[in-house]
Amino acid sequence: MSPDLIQPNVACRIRSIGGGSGARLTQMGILPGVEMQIVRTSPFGSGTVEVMIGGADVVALRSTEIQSMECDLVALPLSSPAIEPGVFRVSVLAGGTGFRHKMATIGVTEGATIVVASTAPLTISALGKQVRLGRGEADKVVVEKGADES
Amino acid sequence: MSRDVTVALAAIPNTGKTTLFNRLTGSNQSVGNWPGVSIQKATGHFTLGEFDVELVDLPGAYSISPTSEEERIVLDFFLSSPPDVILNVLDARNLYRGLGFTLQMSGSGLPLVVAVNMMDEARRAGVDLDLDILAEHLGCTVVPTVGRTGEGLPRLKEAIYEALKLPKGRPPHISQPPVVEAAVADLSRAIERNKTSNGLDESFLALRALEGDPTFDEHPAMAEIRAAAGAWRHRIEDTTGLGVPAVCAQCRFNSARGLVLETTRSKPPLPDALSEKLDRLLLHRWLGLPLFATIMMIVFQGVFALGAPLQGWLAALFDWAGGGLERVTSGLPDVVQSFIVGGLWQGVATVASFFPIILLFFVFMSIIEDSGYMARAAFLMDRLMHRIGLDGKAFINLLLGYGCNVPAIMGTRVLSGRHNRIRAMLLIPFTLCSARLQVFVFLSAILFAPAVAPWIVFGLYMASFVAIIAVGLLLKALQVAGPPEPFIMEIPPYRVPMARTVALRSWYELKDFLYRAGTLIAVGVVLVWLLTHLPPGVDVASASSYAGRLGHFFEPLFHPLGIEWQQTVALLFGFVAKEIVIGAFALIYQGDLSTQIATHVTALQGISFMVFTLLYTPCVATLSAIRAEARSWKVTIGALGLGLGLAWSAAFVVYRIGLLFA
Repeated sequence: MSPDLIQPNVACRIRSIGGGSGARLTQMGILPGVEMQIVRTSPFGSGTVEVMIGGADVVALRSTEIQSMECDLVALPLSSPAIEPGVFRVSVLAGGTGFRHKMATIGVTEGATIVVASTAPLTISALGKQVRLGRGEADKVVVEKGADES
Repeated sequence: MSRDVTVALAAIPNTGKTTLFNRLTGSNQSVGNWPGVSIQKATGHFTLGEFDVELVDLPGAYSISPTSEEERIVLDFFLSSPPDVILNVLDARNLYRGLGFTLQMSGSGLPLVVAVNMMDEARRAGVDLDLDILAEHLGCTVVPTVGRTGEGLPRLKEAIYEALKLPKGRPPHISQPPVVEAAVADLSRAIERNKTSNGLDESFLALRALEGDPTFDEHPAMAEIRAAAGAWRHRIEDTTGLGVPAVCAQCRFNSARGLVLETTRSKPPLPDALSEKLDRLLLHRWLGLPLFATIMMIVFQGVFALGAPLQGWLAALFDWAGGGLERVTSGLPDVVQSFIVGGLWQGVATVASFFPIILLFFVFMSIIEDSGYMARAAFLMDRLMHRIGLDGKAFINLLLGYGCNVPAIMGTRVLSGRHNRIRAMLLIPFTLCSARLQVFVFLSAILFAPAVAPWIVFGLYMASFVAIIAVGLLLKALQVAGPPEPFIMEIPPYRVPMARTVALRSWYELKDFLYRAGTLIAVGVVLVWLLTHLPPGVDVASASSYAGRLGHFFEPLFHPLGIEWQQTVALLFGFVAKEIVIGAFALIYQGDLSTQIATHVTALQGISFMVFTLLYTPCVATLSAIRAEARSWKVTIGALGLGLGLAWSAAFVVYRIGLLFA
């Protein structure tokens, strides 16, 4: 996984595990096919990353270990550099009630379909209206690739 | 008629294994090391009907296809001395993670009992398990337990008793790729023909041979099948494109996933919601570190604010008893009496003076560890510590070294991997402990104006940080203790620590300190007494005592640092305990101490002396602790040499540069 993709709320399915820790992770049941979600990154430059494995296990790894894995992205926040203009489905709103409320007023709810019109500045359209999202908001809107794109 | 049997407690980390161990053995435990390594080995005893059970607490391991030192110990244990019964522990909330190891254990062919622990937490989280199905698939008894309350313990003991009467376990079948099946069948037949299995299932040994870990080389089964196993290994690698351990792990965890699906009656609402909420605060990107600093501050204050008065009382008690001893021995010749009171008794008192701090340190340490916060602290500090070649956990040890080096060294036991343990042990002696602080406060108050003195002490703290970073980078560059193991740390849910576990742990640590480091400390104290009081008739620590002669002998070495022979003698005393340096000055410079020091020592000489005191040899108690933890004289002498070398160089640079400006 490329280092600029490592940020909280990114979820991916592991395709292969390389690097020095591969053998260790395999013996812990962290195998190809398992889903991994990045929970948070550490202070002092994100070198250490907390991930959730298979929706249950919480494990801390160095980001270099994650970089040596091959992963298929499952869900990612709108602020991710992997986001390109297109159709997405909102999978999770990773914020408090205030944030959810604010998002609901512009048509961004869990399960809703949104269109990313441009990424810089980040502009989305939901319910036919165009809205600009700030970086802090984009971090917390987690989306999956929309169905009608394929 | 009782029979001696061995039961091995084997499980992955964070399953409550130690709590179960304490429950089963009560206070009937002993702690030692696994041969040749710095990993703790705990054994305990209990009786079960006609059986005298020795319960061996194996280090936490994810598998016996080893990827760490701990796992290699577990594998070696099973290969060299197969136990009569294996007791395996699973975390009820997360069976999948532990089942990979359980399946390996059940494949060994030894009778197996599985405790599904932390059932209370699982029930609270809404997990509903059908353990009969699990038992059926694993071919062994499965007992639900709650280690914290002791629930299920009688049933567990019963199950162990029944398993002890079994001749052999029933290994379950795990589906594997055809090439692996063929390899196992072929190698198993060879092992069966040669009858080299010593109680372990042939297919278990065949798999170990296929994995080809060096640990297996000693096993009698190895000699016969080495060539065949090597050939099969290549075929498996060619067919599957993966190493044998990875192929087998995938098969095991596939079975595990199926087992979890069959066993779980409801979909568990994981993960722990409370932990998630707490982590959002305690691991917050900006708030996490200040909160961590606050918590460590409380721990630090707790250990040393509570410890100091206790140490004071203990010292008073020993002084009082020493006075009694002096009266009792008054009939003896002066030298003999002084030796008993000032040498032997002082040695005992020095060992005892560490009791309160060690006890409190481990009480707090166990609370931090058992609560689950230790892993969070390690996560927060890992990035910084990684730069000096350690992982995040070692930060707490280094920090507590600023209180006292001895428990900080003992605490390296909780670090993962020999690499981290040895490096932390080599760095901790450069922390400015409270004993050193006493010397620095005392000397800088005499030698500097009141406005300057605090800055001198502050500068020494900075010097200590710089020394740790420099030595850390040096050890990293030299690859001391080998390359680091990959950092993979489980972050367990938060739990309320149990008083019983905390108390037991602290008590055993104290006992351990007494047994393992106590003698060495007492010997060191007696040695310094001999040097300063002999030959008979000399004034204590005077020029004609052995210590004085040593001081003169080393004068050429210390003169370039501006350190006179009297101070060299004081440094010799400082080896016993750094704070004694002040008392030594009083002995050496007769008369009013402050004026004497102020007239004999210049400010620059004082700074050089303090820099030297900060860095030179760890005190005898710290060295003893290093020796006891590392189980290696090489590391102990390394710590000594590193300190002396760095102290000399640093003091030389400081003094010589200072002279240019003086």
